[in-house]
Amino acid sequence: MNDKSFLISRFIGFMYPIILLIGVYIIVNGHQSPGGGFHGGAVLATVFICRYLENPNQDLRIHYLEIFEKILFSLVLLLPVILLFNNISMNVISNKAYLLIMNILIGLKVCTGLSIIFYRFVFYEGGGLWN
Amino acid sequence: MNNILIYLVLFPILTGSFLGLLKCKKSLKQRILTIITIFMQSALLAGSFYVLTFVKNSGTIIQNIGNWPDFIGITLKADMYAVAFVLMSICLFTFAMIYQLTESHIEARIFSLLLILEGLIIGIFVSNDLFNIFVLIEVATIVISLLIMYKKDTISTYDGMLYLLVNITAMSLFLFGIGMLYKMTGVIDLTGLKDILSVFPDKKALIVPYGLMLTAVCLKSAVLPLFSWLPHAHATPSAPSAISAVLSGIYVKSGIYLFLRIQNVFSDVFDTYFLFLILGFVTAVAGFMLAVSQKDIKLLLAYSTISQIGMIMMGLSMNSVSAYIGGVYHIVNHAFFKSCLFLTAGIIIDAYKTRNIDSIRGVFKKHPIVAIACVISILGITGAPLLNGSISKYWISYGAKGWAEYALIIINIGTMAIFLKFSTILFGKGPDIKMNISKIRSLPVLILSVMCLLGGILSEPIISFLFNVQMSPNLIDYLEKSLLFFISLGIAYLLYRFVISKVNLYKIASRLELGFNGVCISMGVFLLVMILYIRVFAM
Amino acid sequence: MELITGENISILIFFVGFAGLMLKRNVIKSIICIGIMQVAIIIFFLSVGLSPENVPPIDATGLQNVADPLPQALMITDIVIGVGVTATALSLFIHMYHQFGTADWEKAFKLRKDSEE
Repeated sequence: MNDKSFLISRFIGFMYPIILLIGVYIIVNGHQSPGGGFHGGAVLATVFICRYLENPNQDLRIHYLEIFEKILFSLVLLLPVILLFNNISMNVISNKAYLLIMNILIGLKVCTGLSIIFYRFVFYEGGGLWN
Repeated sequence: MNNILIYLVLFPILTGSFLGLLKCKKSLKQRILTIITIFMQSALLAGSFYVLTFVKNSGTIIQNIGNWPDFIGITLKADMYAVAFVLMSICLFTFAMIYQLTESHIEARIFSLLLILEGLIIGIFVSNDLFNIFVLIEVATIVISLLIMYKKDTISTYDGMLYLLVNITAMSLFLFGIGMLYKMTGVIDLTGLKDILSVFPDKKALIVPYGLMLTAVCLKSAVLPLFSWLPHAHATPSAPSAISAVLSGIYVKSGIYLFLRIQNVFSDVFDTYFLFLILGFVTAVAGFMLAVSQKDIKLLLAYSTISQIGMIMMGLSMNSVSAYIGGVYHIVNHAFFKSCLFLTAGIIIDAYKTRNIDSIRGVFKKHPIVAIACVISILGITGAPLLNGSISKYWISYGAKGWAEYALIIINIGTMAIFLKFSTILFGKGPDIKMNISKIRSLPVLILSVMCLLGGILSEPIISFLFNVQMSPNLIDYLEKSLLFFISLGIAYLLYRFVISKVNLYKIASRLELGFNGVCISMGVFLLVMILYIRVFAM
Repeated sequence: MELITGENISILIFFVGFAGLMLKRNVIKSIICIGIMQVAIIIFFLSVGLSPENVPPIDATGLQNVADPLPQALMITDIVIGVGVTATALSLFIHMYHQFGTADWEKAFKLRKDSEE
């Protein structure tokens, strides 16, 4: 379980910039083509999983990921409340900018969320999941 | 005050989520939790009373979120039944939380999960949109399985896992039915569906969605072949008693509420009243036969829940107005006395440190307050005169015709036999223990039982306050039913004395439990039988 | 009429998943079957009224045949619910495995009955 495979780690080292690029492309083009925050975030989460597959020791600090995710969650809640419920004037450019920012925030949040779930399974497999 | 329905749903959920992030010293924890609970519950009670009086004066509140036109967006609708159930659930959650505050070991996580559950249940009662109901029930399933599995020992792990997987499967069937309905009609809103389905040309195409949705709803409200998950989930040994009270009192009623709504939508298309009358009767009989053969206090109470739900379903399918109101009032009554019984059972288990009904004796001498509350709830559930159970059973049997009257008498005799067995814990000579129960602990139980008493004496004003109908019982009929109560009590006592305590029914009952694969097979068989029945008989 | 449409495939996959729930005794296989049923429902919803010449409902102008956006929005919610449910079920399974030592429904049922008496 804890020894790494040479073939996979070399190949993942080659692949992960491409996966990163595809994920960012799907997120950023969410307002014009299929995709958006959710799917791009799931693709980005595989980058974190790749890091574990390449280097299976327990040195990722989950605590900072969790703090980051909670900040993103509160931003995702605050932004529509501030912008939409105060009727800031909507023209074409600010519509697209709003969609872009929401897509990026949701993509980052989904990515951190899924990688936290994966790391919790992997690190605490021996019990003691509920701190 | 246009958005009050949204606030009623969102306020507990947000508070519960923020409470989960709370980290503070132990000595301060209890005070903070008490303050938050009292503040939250009184705000919710005030809000729901306001909505109730508003609906009584000005008719149903319909609120479209986002100000979309009707039938397009998500709607929240509050009519008389919905608001009455919301009020009932907020009352019961208050008592359950006060009971939980008096436990010896308090954790903030249980309270945050309970608050989130309260918001979700209020949302299920007021939402008018099928997909909204689906999302809320799925989240409630996850929260409840976390609560069941809270202490993580052997038995509760299995029960929590079974509960989660069975309910998710049932909700997948429900969503598939919604998908088929959406494909045919293009509407997901309940009022819009009712209008469209009354003029829908091709009725044969509606059988499969109706069968799928009703299988899921029947699993959530525990009718005959599909109730194996319920007793172990409600009465699992290490869950806090407040959880059992909430689950058995309120959450299983949300399944029946969905049954009401879906029957209302499809009432012009299919006529399935006879099927649910038979299903209700068989469920009630199976419920009390399994309850009488149990040795564990909480499992006995959980099986008697199944029996009462069978009676409620009979009342709702009798095609008469008085039986319908009787069934709905029995939902409210059963919530009150079943929660009271579960909370007293929790107190007794904590005092005697055992759950076996043969080892607990003599509660009446040692803890008189708890025993009085227990006795009043038992009188309520068996339908003694002057208590609320008798009023609702009177109205159900008022609308019954033919064989249904005798069926109700048989179910009553069975219920009395169960509670005769339960009340043996009150008498006799108990073990010598030194346990005193603090006054605060017995306070919520006492108040609940007093409300049961009031619900019977003041039944006319309460029914007209909650449901806006005027139902006054005929005095001669009522005295006749009281006489019938005493005769059935005699028959039940004879039955108990000479038949039940001699035969060992426990072995037979424990062989009839189904595992996970059995539950899924029974779901498939139920779906097929329902589709065949509707195709042949009810078109 | 066409035999391989979205609806027919999704009904087939749904009942394959349901049959797997009835017949398989491993807990992980039951969780996988629930995932299969949810995927089938997603395909069913997305194929409501869809035909090959529909365009996506973003930036569409005028008289084009637009695909229905309502089921797509509902299904995003449903995918997220599916992820949450699978995560909860798997973490509960880890606890169950440590308690019982087996991943089989029948053996766990027997162990539960024995520890009850």
